[in-house]
Amino acid sequence: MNFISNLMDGINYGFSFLNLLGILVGYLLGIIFGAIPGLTGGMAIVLLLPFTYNFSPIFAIATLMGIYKGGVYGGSITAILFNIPGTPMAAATAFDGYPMRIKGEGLRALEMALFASIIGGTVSNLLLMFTAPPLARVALKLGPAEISALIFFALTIITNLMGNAAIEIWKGLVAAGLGLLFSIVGLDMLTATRRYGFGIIQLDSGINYIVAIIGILALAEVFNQIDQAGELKLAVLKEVKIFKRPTMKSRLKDLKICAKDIFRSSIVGSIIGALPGLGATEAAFLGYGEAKRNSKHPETFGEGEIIGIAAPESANNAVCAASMIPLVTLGIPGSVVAAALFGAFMIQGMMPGPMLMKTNPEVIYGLFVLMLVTDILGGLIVAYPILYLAEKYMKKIAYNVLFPFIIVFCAVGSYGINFNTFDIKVLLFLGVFGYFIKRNGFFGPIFLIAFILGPFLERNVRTALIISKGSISIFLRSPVALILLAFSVIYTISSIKKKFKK
Amino acid sequence: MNKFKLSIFLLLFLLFFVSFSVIAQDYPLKPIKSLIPLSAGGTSDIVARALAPYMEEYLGQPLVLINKPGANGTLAVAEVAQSEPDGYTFGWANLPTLVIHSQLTELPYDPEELEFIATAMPFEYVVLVRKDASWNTWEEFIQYAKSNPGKITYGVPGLGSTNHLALEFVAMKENIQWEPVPFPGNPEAIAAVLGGHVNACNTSTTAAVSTVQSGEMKPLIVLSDKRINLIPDIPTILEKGYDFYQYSCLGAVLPPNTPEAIRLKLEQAIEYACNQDDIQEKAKNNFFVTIDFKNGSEYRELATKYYKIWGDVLRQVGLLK
Repeated sequence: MNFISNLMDGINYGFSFLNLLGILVGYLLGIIFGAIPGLTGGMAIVLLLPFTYNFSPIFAIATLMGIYKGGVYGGSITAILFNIPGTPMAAATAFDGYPMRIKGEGLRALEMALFASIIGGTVSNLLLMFTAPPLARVALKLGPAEISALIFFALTIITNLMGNAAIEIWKGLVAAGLGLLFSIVGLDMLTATRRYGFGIIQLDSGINYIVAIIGILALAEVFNQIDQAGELKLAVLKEVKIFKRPTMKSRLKDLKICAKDIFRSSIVGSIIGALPGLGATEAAFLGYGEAKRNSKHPETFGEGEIIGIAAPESANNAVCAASMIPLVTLGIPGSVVAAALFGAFMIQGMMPGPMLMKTNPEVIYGLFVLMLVTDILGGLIVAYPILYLAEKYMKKIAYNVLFPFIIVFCAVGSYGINFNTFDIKVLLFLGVFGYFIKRNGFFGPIFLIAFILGPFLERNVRTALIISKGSISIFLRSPVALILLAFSVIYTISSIKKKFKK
Repeated sequence: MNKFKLSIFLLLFLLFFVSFSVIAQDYPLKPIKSLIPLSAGGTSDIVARALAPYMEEYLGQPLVLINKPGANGTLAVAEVAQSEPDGYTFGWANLPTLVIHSQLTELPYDPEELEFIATAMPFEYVVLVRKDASWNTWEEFIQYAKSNPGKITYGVPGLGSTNHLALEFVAMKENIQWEPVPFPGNPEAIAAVLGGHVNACNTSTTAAVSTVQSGEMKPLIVLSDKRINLIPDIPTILEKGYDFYQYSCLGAVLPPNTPEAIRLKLEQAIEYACNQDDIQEKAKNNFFVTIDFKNGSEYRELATKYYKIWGDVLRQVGLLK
């Protein structure tokens, strides 16, 4: 059979000691970049790309893949241990991860995050191998109108995500609205008109999303924890006493509890990943929201629910492989990482796309096989020991010692994007802003997701309206868009009802 | 002013220039940020990424390539124009788009003030439709557009881009009406055609290679004066009797007031990359473009020329009064 022979060629082509080493080293680098707030796996890839030019494409790809996947997992370590997600895609993991750690179940949470990541990644790898062409067709069918509706739907879920009281719905709406407003700052993406610049020229390129992530997720959280330093000491002391280690039996039990949610999140992540523009952060939040909505006891979410870790972690890892689908089937890179891989292919004179599948199937299948290996090898050989080390040593470190380091990393990370001190001022502003919205019960992550999705929503809505010559009927004529919009309305009404009952 | 003061003054004056030239000579000392004005997988992106390793070899520092699509490349050029003129940020910018947009709206920069590094190559354009579209020839397509005014939509990488204006020019000649839809780059425009959200797109050659070769997309016309190797059977716009054709140039620019020594070094880096056999071969066999290096002053001349030519086009199609 053609598939089997291609797969064998791919294994022959992809498997070498050097490639496997590349994966492991990449995974380690990814975890480090992912775990440090202010640095992300995507940044590591862009910075390291030039150094991969001298190697074979498959080695370069193996290493970049390792960094990518390691980066996605790395963020959850700091999210669980310190409530400071290293990357935005791990923000949803912190909701339940940190409460579990306070209860002394840090290791259980870290392990579940890893297992869910491996499973989510593997499901999505298999989907990529077996169903890439049909999935790519589905993704293509989603035009500007459908993507607008999808983003709107995602925003609705995220807005309704937090808390269980009615009042939290309007707080979610306000946070999302603020996020959308902040995303408008800068030059208009279609006509280059200045918007909300207040005469500050540096704001023309908008608020950098990495600075926003660092400010809202890391710096604001540091301010918040400094504010509660007294209570925190108590929490840490208490935790050491009742510190629990997972056993084989408890692990299997946890996996059984989460199995359904891991599977659902893997599919959600794969679909989101196949759409250009949307990524791991949105997938993680959608996975979390769906798990909460389908749960029999949604009130336990946010207080240390194990499913609250499994769902977002499997979803954000599933995005990795799926974001390769448009690349290998159509030659269209759907994410920063896919773009970097595109570059790695081209350096070697290969154009990624449908033709490469025909002319050099061993390269494409080599890529598939290596991706499959990355999750399992990287997860078990690299991440697993790190997780124990992190838990062991981080437990002893007093928070107040870490704060100066985190603040320095935040500033360096922001400065490093453009080598521009203006970004540090923006960071400080957003950090203080994030602290105040958090103090008043608004959720920083909701603000952030709306901020990140804002430009995509705007571009797709405007493109859809250009196609329809200004008529909003384009959103209602498409069945997919109509269904998604209807879901958004039903979802909001039902969660308002649920929350009022309490 | 006594002698002592004068000599100190002169010494400082000289030191200023010495240190200045040392800085320029040592350039680059750290990685250089290179902005690509269109999305990943487009012609500019593909060629800039292919040139990068050789430019790095010449410069001795890595290039950090960042795609910043939006408003027709204006977002990336604006960021370049507003960054420090120290040579550590430069941007790829295509002519004639660079000098078209500034005539359409007020921009945060004046393209004339930028420092022009060089241009690596000109590139051609192709109008594509989906393989199952009912039009097999350019004539059928035009005929349909004529009898269904306003019904055809076509994807372009930005309003005011060369891709957009060329088809508006055709529309003016043929007296038809069709609607441009802006995307971040050619890959997204092609995806929109494949998904059936727009009817056609006018894209640069390299961006079209993979979908044309695999038969997913059907080319209708080449918008240049000569046929291209990718699709030797497809006629050019001149053959179809229009007195007009379209080219773009992939070039690079620096912020205003960047020292000449730095500009020159980057110009030489691009020239070095363009002279590599490997690049020439890749360009010919994979990207279907021809490398044709032109230095900074030639590139600037081209910009001035295009400013006038396309200014006239803008007036003729009625976008500029």
